[in-house]
Amino acid sequence: MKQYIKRYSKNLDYPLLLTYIALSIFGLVMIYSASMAWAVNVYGWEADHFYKQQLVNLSLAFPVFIVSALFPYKHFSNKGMMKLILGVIFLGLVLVHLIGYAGGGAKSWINLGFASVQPSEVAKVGIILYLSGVFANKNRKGMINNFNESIAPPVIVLTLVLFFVFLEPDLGSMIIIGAVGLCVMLASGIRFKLYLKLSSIVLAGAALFILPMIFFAQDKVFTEKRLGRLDAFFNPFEDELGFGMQIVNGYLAIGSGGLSGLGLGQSVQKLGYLPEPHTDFIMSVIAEELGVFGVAFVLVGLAFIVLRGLSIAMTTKDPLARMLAAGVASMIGIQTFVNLGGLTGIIPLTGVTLPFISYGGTSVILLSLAMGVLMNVSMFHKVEKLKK
Amino acid sequence: MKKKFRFQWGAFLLFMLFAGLFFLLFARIVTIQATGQVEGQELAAKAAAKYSQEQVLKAERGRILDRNAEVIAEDTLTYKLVAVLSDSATQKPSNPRHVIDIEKTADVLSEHLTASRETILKILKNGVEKGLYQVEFGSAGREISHTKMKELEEEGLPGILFVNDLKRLYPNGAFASHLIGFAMKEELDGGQLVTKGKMGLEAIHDGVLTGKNGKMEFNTDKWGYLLPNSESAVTPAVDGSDVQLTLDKTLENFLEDAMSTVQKEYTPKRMIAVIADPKTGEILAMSQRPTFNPNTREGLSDNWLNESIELTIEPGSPMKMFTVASAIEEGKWDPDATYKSGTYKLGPDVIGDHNSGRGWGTITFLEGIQRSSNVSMAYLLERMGKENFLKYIDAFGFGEKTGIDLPHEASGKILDKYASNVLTLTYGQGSTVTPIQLIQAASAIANDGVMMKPYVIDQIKNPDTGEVTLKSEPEEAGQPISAETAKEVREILASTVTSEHGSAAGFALQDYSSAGKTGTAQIPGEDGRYMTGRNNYLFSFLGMAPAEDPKLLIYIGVQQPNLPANEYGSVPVSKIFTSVMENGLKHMNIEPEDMETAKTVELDDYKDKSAKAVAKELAGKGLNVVLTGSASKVEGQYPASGEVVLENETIILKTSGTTVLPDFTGWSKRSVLAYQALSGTSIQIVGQGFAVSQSLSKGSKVSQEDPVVIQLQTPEDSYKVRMKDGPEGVPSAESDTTADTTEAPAEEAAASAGEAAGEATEETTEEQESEVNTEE
Repeated sequence: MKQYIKRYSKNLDYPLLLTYIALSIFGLVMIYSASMAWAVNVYGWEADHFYKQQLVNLSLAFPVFIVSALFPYKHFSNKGMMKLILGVIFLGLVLVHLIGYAGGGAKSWINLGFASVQPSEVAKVGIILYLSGVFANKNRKGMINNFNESIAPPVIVLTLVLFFVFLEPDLGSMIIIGAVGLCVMLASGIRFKLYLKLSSIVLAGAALFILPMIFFAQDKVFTEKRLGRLDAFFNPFEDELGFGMQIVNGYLAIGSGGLSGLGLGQSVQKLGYLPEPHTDFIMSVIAEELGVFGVAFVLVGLAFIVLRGLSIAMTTKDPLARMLAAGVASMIGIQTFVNLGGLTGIIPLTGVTLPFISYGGTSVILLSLAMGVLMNVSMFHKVEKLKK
Repeated sequence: MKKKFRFQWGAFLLFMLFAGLFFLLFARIVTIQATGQVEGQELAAKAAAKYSQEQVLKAERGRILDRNAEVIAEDTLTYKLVAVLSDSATQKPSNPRHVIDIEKTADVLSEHLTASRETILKILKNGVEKGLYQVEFGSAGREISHTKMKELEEEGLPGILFVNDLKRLYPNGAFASHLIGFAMKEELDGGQLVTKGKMGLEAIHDGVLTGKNGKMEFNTDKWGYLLPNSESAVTPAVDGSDVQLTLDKTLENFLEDAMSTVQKEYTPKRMIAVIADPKTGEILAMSQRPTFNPNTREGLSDNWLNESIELTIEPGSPMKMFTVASAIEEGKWDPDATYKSGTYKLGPDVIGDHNSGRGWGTITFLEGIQRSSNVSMAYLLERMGKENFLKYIDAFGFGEKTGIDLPHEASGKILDKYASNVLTLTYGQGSTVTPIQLIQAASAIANDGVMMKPYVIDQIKNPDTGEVTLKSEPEEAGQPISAETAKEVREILASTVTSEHGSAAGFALQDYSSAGKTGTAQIPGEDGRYMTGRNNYLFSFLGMAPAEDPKLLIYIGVQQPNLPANEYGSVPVSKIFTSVMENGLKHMNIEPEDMETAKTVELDDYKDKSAKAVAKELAGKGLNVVLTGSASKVEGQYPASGEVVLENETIILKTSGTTVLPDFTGWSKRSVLAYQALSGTSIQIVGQGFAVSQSLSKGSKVSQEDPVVIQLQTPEDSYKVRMKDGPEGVPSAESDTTADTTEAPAEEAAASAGEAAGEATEETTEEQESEVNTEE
């Protein structure tokens, strides 16, 4: 046993581990800073409510990380394992429709009594594990490029998942899951031409699905809220008090912080101006308080995790390892981009949290699970390299 | 090993993609941080503007105070009710901050506000439909008192807020209203409400009364809490200055009460009264009717004139005091000299005394002024000469503004072109003056010859800065007569109250001596001719008390009262005068004088006692006893037992048997009526006042069927009779006047023969009535 641990610790990817821990702790501090006034004035709770809650989340998440880091990734291609994962994904997605409750717009939460869970978050990680397993098995059988046998079934599963999430309706999660799925497929080893064909089929299918919807259910698709958000994306300052308010306040936070920042705890925007400053808009608070230093710290940390994952994917020989690493890295990268891109006006604002930094139980536990998988893959990759 | 390395294109693509995206994000954020701009918007400045709040610090409007700093007008804190409708006001569903149940809210509000449930519901519904953040309820939701606000708060309705709202309050109600005026809320172009003076002192001194709003600039978070470490800039509000008047709230209240009582009883067309301190010229009270309540402006008509200074009147007989004063000063006054009263000829013009020009035969000048004889004034003018007299009129300040510290003062017009103008001026007809001019001129008489300029504003002082922008001091307006002359005039005027011929007998005070001159001035009608009719006069009094050393000076004018048949026009005037002066002097702690009080006797019950014994006993106490019959036993009495009567009063004892008429001369109407009732004789009373003649002489034996006619007339010894003895006991003035007085147009009236100014009038009707009665 001692030797086992020794072997593990020798092969651990320390930079990845340290970055993960550093970001989580930094996030914890910023959650405390961002949520203090909000907790008191909006919810009437103690100032450290969100801080303590996140501390609990992290103390649950870290064991999850350790377990999944110790769990050999090869098992994810096991048929039973894959069925279990699929089962969990769909159980959650079906349950959320039956007994779920809305936590701000979408009906995306299930109350388990002791905690609340977002099945779409589970689906994000689950879909990576499932797709990686499926494609790895097909790869091993050498039939990865057989469209009907290898590609169509998992794509159908992915579409089903997306459809369920769409029903919630959690468009942000749907886009991320879809994008993550495409990224896993990109790393699956299928031929480039086939991928292009696949992409055009998916796009055509999406068009076939979306166009009639736009035509027949215009008023439901283009709700006032969505159009307003879209308009706010293009001209946020023209509707500063309406839909543009959130994004403008995000800008004001970054702008008034400047390069140097106002100092830790000095954000004004977090005092009621930014909505939920400890979740979606936490980067605005970081920028306002810590300036370019805080922004760089978070971005460099996240970039390191994403790019390290992708570099493992680039260099590993094992298709399962490659897809798992690419999937986890892409998920983190996509979430980061959707969150920060929305904040900075590159893309429209969607309700997506910033990985490791934002407050949220399900999110941080599943990210830790994913990080564990990445850690495990990285360790095997290290061993693989050493062997040669 | 390198050979074995299989480059995976998909992972590489992803690597490049995410590397690019991270770079893009970093570049974007740092660009915003470095430039501080997005889409050309200065973010830091925009943020600062967003946090910065400005709060108006409302300046209070200055107060209007009386001489003792008692409040006449002040801003008071009331509340304005606001109903928040938008659910965006609520951040926690457990603590709603907007109206949730419209129906219930309307129910509860309608219980507390003046608006109906339907009205409130309509406003709320309308607001919800239009998506308004909040609604107000107009006047029903304004000026809510603190108590009411607390009551509503206890109802615990969500979304009901109270906003501070300053209201101008006049705690005394109708109180020198035409002088004080009023201020009301006015909406500026920007929708901002300001209190603005609209009338009277509120309007005149609006500038100093209005304060300057301050403001407080500070930074807050979204919830309105001050940001930590942020500085706030405060420009304090400067409250408006307090305008302190010379008015005395207590005196003004006495005056207002007395005016209201008279107003109610006599419903005159107009009343004016001014009280001043003759030693300083300070106006202590000023009132007029009709008046209004400045809080509600109820009763406010089109007439916004402060009539004491803005209305010109033909003063009538009060003017005579200045004619006499001039004569004394000129050494042309000999009270014991005699003249032939009745009429006076000046060229083609003939003037007459007010008793139809009949006069009172040859009388002394003292009696002349006591009887308010116009002819005596004509002789005084003749002795002084026109120029001399006009010099005094000018010195007394007539014909020009007094310069009181109020705008729009009228100057009046002294007619002196023709000799006849000057002649009628001696008794106050033709020329016009303002009440305030009479007050100023009379101050010379009251204040030992030194005329004091009237003023109403004591000082204007800012309560915040302590800055005094105006401070008034008593100011002399000249010395038209000497102290000795003034004293003599006061004595003469006092005699008009006390003497047996006195025209101002009803103006005697209980505990103080008084001096003054009544007036019954004709008033021009719409056609420019003097009006006719018993009530159509301006009854007035210009007087002072105590006579020896006047502390209060008053002018009272009552125009066109509805007089009961048995009353003279001077009655309503005297009612105001006696109550205000008596109470006022006591309020000022002026020592009551040692008045010579007549001995009084309290009556017992004499029923069933021996008439002879009782008569002897009462006669011994100085009373006149009259028996109605020859029997020896008393069956009844007048006045009743327990009554206190003055010496020389007539006591009637009812005894049966043959009635022997007494001498009725001097009996009051009430006594005559009592005699009639007790004796059972049929007495017919003709006229008003006191008995002067009887159809069957004293000592006549009469049976119940024999009619006895008793003629009443103005009493000659009326000064002994007090107001409280009842209306019949109130003798007013002279008797008789010319009947054709009212025929002439106003302008020529003054000069025309037989014209009577002054007191004439009550007697006019008196005489006419008597005649009618006699004819019957």
